[in-house]
Amino acid sequence: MAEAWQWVTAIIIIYSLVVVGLGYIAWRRFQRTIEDFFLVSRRVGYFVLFLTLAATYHSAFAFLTSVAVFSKSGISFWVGSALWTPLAAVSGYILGKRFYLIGKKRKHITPADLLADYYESEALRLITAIIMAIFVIAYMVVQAIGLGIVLGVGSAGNIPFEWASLFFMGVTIIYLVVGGHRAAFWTDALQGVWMYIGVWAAGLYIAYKFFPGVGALMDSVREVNPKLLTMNWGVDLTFSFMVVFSIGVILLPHMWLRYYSARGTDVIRVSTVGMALYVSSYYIPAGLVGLAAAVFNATGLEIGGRVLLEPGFIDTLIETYGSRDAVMAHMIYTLTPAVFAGFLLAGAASAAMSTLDSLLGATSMVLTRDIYQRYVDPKADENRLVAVGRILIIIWGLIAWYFTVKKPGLIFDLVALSASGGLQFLVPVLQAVFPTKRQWVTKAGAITGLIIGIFVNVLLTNRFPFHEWLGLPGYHPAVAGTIGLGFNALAALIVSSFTKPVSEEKRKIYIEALLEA
Amino acid sequence: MNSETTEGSAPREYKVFKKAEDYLGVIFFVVAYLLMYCLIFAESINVADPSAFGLSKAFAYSLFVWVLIMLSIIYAAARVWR
Repeated sequence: MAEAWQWVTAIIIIYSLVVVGLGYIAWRRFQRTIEDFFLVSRRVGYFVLFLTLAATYHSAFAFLTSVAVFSKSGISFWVGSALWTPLAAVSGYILGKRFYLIGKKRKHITPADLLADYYESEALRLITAIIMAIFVIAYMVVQAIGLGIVLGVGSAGNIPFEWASLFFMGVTIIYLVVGGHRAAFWTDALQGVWMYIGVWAAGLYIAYKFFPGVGALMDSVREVNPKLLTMNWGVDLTFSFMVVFSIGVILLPHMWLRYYSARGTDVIRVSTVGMALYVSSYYIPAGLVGLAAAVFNATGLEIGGRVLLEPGFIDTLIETYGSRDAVMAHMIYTLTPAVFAGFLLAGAASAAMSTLDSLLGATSMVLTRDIYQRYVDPKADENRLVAVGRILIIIWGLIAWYFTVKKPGLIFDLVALSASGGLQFLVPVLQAVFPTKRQWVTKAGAITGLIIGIFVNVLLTNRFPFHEWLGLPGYHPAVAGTIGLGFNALAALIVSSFTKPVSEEKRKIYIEALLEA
Repeated sequence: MNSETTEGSAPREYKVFKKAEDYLGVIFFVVAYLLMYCLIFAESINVADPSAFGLSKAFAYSLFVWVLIMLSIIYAAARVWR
């Protein structure tokens, strides 16, 4: 008779093979053009776009760290997510629809294509590509950490965190290199359904199996720590999370390019509503698991004389994995039947893989298109570009894995760090997609704002030592990113007030593209 | 769509808001957000006391406002973004 961990591990690995199989099917439909490899020939319809947006937005962040934060900060996470998830969907519609319309007309493939085209600046293209490729690494590390935790916990430690992470990184790279972004979109659709069912199944199972129901769970939390049932984040932190996790994430390349690939504006409109409902409601069951974890962390859990969870078990997880992100996986592995746990943890793996594939694909696209094609080999044919894109997927995957094994901390903070970089593009993007008669941001203003915004962001982030060197206070990456955005906007507006605006001809072209909706 | 303007007509200009419903959609959305912000930090609401379904008052309130935010998005998608 196989042990529980063997069942769980087998199910997770079988699931991975299914995903690779989907990558193979996607490869058979590959048309060998860079537009098809990265943007699925701009033909993505309602169902796949909705699920790929939702699954890509939701990652190890949703499945793992949300539960970890719930167990520490209680419903603060719910209140915050109730603000940032709908805003992410809405900003995705407002910006994404315009990315789509302009991108289709101007044949844009990367985020830098749009900015370099509107502001007529190759310097802006290079700056955009470099900032995006660097900040996105933190987001990749998040997914690799999540995958390492899922298989590490699911195998009861028999597969070490580092190797578990490498295994999944390998699986993701294989299906992405083989099938391109079509594989990522298709697997996202599968993974989007899987992880949503998984988190609801886990939340309801734990709430009704170990408590008489949701009300009883709340009563238990009230006895253990009533503060977990109130909002504990301040207005500044809440506002920063709202801005960074909504607009910042949408402006990272892996989300941005999804809007390029849509079949039409109506597809984006319908997907927006679906995404808003999906990503928001996802955190209700995640909250149930997190609050249950907080209760068991205080009281322990013993059933039939068998100790399932020791009091203070979260501290043990922090010692092992470097953060409390393993709470969800540990709760599932410990409290649910083995086969059920296998399916649920495969859902967790799917959450991370669906974002990791998008990040790897998008970064490869940015580097191939904006740097290799422009500065290394401008005459490269489509086959050559696709080959370079594939090699870059492997290289960036291994870079992310290198940082992963260093266990850099809580996923929540790393996502905020990555999204704070994306947030800095808001200023130049707004002017480009809203080409108003009065031009608030010029080429010089956009570049100055972007550089100052990133500088302030990195300087004030408490994850880096720079603020200490200058005797400045360090802030959570989300707060530092929001402050950076303020400096960015101010610098852009000041410099733009006395520098040459974008040509009227270019502005008119953008207006015409937008009016085609 | 033809990108050229006919002789004598004004060249087309980009407007952020095009019709009255645009404003209504924005107002609906902003009000829902302000409700969440203004009240969740109020001492009388941000408490752990039981409310509907045994949820804390703060949790139940935030769920209610979340529903309003969702409704504002559905309204916008159905009426404003067509």
